[in-house]
Amino acid sequence: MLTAARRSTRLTSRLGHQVRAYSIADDADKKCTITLKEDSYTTYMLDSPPPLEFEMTKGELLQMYKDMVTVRRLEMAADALYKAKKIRGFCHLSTGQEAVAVGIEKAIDHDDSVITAYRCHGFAYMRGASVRAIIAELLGKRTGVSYGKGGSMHMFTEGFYGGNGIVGAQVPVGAGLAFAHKYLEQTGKATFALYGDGASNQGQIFEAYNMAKLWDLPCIFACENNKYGMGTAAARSSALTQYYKRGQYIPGLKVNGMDILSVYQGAKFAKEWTTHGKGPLVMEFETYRYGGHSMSDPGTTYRTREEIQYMRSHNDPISGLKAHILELNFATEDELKSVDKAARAMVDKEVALAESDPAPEATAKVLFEDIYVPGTEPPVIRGRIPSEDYYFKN
Amino acid sequence: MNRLLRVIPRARLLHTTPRLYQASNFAMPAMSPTMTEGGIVSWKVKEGDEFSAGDVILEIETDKAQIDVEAADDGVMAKIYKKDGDKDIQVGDTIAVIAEPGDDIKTIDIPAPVESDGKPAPKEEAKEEVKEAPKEEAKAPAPKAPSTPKEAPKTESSSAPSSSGYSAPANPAQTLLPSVSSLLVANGISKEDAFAKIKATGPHGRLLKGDILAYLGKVPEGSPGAVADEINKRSHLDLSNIKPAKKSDAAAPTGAAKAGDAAAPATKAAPEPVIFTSFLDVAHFEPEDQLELQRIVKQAIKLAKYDAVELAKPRRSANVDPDFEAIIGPAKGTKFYDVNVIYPKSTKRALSNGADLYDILSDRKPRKAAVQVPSNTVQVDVTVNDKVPGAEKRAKLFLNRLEYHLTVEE
Repeated sequence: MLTAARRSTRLTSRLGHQVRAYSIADDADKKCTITLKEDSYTTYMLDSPPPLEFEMTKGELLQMYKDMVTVRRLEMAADALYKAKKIRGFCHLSTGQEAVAVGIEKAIDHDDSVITAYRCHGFAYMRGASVRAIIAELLGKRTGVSYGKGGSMHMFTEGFYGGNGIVGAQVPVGAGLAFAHKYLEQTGKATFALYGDGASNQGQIFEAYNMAKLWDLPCIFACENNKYGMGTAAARSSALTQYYKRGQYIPGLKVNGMDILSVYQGAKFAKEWTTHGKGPLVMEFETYRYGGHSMSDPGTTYRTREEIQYMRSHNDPISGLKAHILELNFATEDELKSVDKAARAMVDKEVALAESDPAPEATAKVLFEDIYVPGTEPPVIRGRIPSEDYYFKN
Repeated sequence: MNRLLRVIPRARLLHTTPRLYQASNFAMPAMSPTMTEGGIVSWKVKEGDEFSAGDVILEIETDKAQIDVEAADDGVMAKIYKKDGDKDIQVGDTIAVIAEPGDDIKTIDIPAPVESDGKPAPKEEAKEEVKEAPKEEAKAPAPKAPSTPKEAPKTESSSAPSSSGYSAPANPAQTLLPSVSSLLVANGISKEDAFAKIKATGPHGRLLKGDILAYLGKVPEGSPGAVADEINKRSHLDLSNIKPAKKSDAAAPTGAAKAGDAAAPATKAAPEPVIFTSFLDVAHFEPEDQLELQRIVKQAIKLAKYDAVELAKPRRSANVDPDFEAIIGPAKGTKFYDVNVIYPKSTKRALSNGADLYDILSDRKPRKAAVQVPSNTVQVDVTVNDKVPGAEKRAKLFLNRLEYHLTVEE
């Protein structure tokens, strides 16, 4: 997995996909004080919540806005391509949950580790994959982050250990990443192991909690509670929907996941907490997804359309940040609109590139590569029948 | 790293990208992975209406369901191509044009509609062909089976169906079977030598144990080839010698039977009909009333007949196919036996003279002629229909069950 991540980063930089280096404002360093609402945090076994007042710069705020808009555009592009039947198979979109991916990424360093479940496009983008590489991955193109072999669920970049397809299985792996940081004495590095409210009832999550607390691993167990699992409301599947209390012996912090500034401050606090020897932390980001669980779920059979529209119009993370920026007078409505359009144009351009990228060659070499770290392959890998056996040329 | 650049913004954003679209085509969406076409039930917006993300803009129907289609983004409905009630629209066909909010739909450029395969909707046949050609080319190499990098011998496919002994040069890209591998090691033959010297009779140049044994002289040289030929011969079901039954054979009885009806069975020296006779002791029923006795016996006969049918059914087994049994069995409604019951003349009690059912079931002749029916017994004559195979067995089953039913209520 390590190699795959490293190689895909190399690939993306070689192709020069990164078009995110355009700047936002001259006075990007202009500071402002953010005051969060009282109800942004709820704590469990924590002495005090993260400070509600903190400083941010104009540049940071605008960048957050731009990233969130881009992630949303990316997801909408994936949605459109899926509905045009160009993307096949699994596809889980995070429309509405952008604040979590963007907010966490802003609060941590590139050296920290992130691992999440299959709703991973936003995290992959924030961890350095380009829109083109992500869309190409979805389309099964060679230029995708995982060479088109992983698809929606399996995207890796440096410091991002994937999209994982098995519900909840990424959490013990995340604890392992945290253990690696501790074992290698990489102080100051934290791991975010994210999972959904549906996965939070998986037994392996509690096993990971136990080991993380036992060894005081710098691991943040972050539950993205989007209120609905696959087809069912959280309250219908979970005996305790206060997911931040699920750690029992691990302190918990519930964050308003629809407000990116709360997410940012909460994630910053969590990193601080875990990297100062206080052991793990269980977080709950209360958020909302606008779409269905996956592409085969219309998302309106277990909740009302009115509820979704209410969340869109009252709680949208992008609109929320937009209001903040306008209030602080950091940008005008038109300027933000132009950011929207630029993000859309960028995504459209990258999607067009990804679509024009060639499909992988149908050869055995392409099929069997990347199974082993180069140089460690066995002489032969079996195919379905003996005549499909693949022999590595060493 | 570009990451740094990204975080430190520098100049004021003056975005120079030209507006890519003023209006964009809205294609028939695939609302489920298996949907290929659908119809429009109704549009929820009219041309010129504004809508915001998440609003339902139209309702479509597939062969499975009616689904609301939500807008992904804020916009204005600029033009609707496919009207309410239109059916069988391919996924990907343009059904409408959507503009951005605030656009004046009267003045904006409307892009040409597109069909599902990416062609512009206007029917330009010449262009179509040009588009098709590269597609074909791209497809052509795709189905190539993953081949092994080492020179997989081309001969394997050409020589496989050849007649002579099925032997071919061994395919060097094979993983040796454990039996072959151990045999080679035991006899000190290297893998390379084996590939070079030993002829393979397995499929696709695969070395089999027999090939090695033949090479070592432990089995006759020709035997692996003979075995391979035999396997090849027997691995195909040869139906060439099966011919449908001639109609005339099946139809003969209906036509010819009329005339020779009497003659045909007569030639078989008409065997005496087999009659089983059973005397059933009914004394314990105390049948004061004849009708009551008859009712009981009739009921018992009915039950026994049913039981006999059930018991004669073949055991449940993977080898027994009820449909097949029905085809080869006697036609429905065929009588296996006739039952005749003679009731005692009087209800006056008399000693039973002990007709033994064992005799009947063991097919022995009853010891007494069944002319006089003793007053406390019922005589049951079962005439077996000898034209039906298995009828005798069925008749015995019937009698057995009849006795059971007449005694069980004791």
